[in-house]
Amino acid sequence: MITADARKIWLLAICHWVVLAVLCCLFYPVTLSDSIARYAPMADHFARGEWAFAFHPRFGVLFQVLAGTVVKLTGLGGDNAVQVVSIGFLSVSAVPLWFVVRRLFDERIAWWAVALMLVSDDLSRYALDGLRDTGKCLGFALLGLGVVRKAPVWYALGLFVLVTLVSYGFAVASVLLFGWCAHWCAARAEKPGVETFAVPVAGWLAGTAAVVVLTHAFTGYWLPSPHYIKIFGGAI
Amino acid sequence: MIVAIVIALLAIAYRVRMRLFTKAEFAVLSIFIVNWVTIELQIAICDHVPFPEKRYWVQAGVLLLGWTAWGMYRLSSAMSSRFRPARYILPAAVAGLAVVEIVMVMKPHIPGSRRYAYLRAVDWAAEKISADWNGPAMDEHMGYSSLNYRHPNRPVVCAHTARLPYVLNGRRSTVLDGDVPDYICDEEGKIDLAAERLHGARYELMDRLTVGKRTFALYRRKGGEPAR
Repeated sequence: MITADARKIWLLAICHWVVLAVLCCLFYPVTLSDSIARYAPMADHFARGEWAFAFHPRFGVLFQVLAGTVVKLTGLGGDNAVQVVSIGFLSVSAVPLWFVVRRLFDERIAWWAVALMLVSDDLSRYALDGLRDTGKCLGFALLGLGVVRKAPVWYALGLFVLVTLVSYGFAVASVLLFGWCAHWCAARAEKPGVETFAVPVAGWLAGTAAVVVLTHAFTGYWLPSPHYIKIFGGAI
Repeated sequence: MIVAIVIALLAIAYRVRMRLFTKAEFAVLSIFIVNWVTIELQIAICDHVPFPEKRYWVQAGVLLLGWTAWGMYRLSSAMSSRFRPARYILPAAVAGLAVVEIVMVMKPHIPGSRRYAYLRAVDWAAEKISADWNGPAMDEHMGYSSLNYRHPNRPVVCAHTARLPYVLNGRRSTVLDGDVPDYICDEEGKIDLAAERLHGARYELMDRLTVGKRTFALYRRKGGEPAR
């Protein structure tokens, strides 16, 4: 992905990440209850190896693992770690989004689309507040990249991010995986290889395994999230 | 972001009408639609809420930003022949949003804002509680709730912002968990010491702080450990 024309977008993404993360750590204390009462303590517990309090099946695994790793590696508090990871998600999303828009339109439109995303009021607020929601931007941008490039690896990564990030992401990823497989079954003329199906299925399975094991460990149900216990709990 | 999505949808409608819309564009748009429909169905079925909050679905809107940028670019190009400053619509939008972002970052440091007052009260209450608390750092037993994340840190604090228990390395008191707070800190007038969720615990006033127009009060629980 790091070709000559991609260096600029990577540079922009990293600069955005570093500058905004430093500004937030210095000037923007997190007060939003979702982040400060859940994700930040989870990251702190993760860094201390207190696994029982580092996870909760309602909140996936990816964000806590990344934020906890940031706490462990940098010594930042959980509140700053969630900001760093959330801003990182938004910044890195710029790279796949740039490739998607450049493929659909042209390079100039791609730069403007990336600029609009990085300064979007809603997404910026999620990033500053240390919410994991910006991870979905990355997931969707990767899915878009997989679609426009017909690249199963990026699509698989996008599915993995969605499934492991938020509990509602499992159903979205499952429908999108079904759509991908259905499309390629119908497009036999393009002679899709085994990897066209196997890689996205593997990405989805890896993410699903992580969240199902987590939900089972906490609730005893082999389901991807406690949300589904109301519907499928009786059957499992 | 909603404005950007609306502009994108208008641009898509225009491209469809002008037969510029491609299969690749349809594939990318379909990801946005699948996400919205699937989230909507899940929230409606699992949580019995008719329409999900923006926060649940708006992130897929990043895929539409290409159309937003294209639409604004085309509009500004078309308008600039008659009205020259129109060519700056897109740069002005990006610059304006960047300024908003910087203001957002600096907002906690603007005296007079609610956020400024709340953070000053957090610093003040954290200092008072740290000096006062001599209970355990953690509860020995912590039940699991499938609804809410729980951790055993103490003290339990019911506060105007969840940042206060976090900076104390304690935990927030919530109605769902049935926790009896060790301390209560909030704006005067917002504290109800007879509230049912306090389970009859008695509290005494520790101190007050006034920041601008707001006065905060800090209470501590009287007596020994509550029955949990």
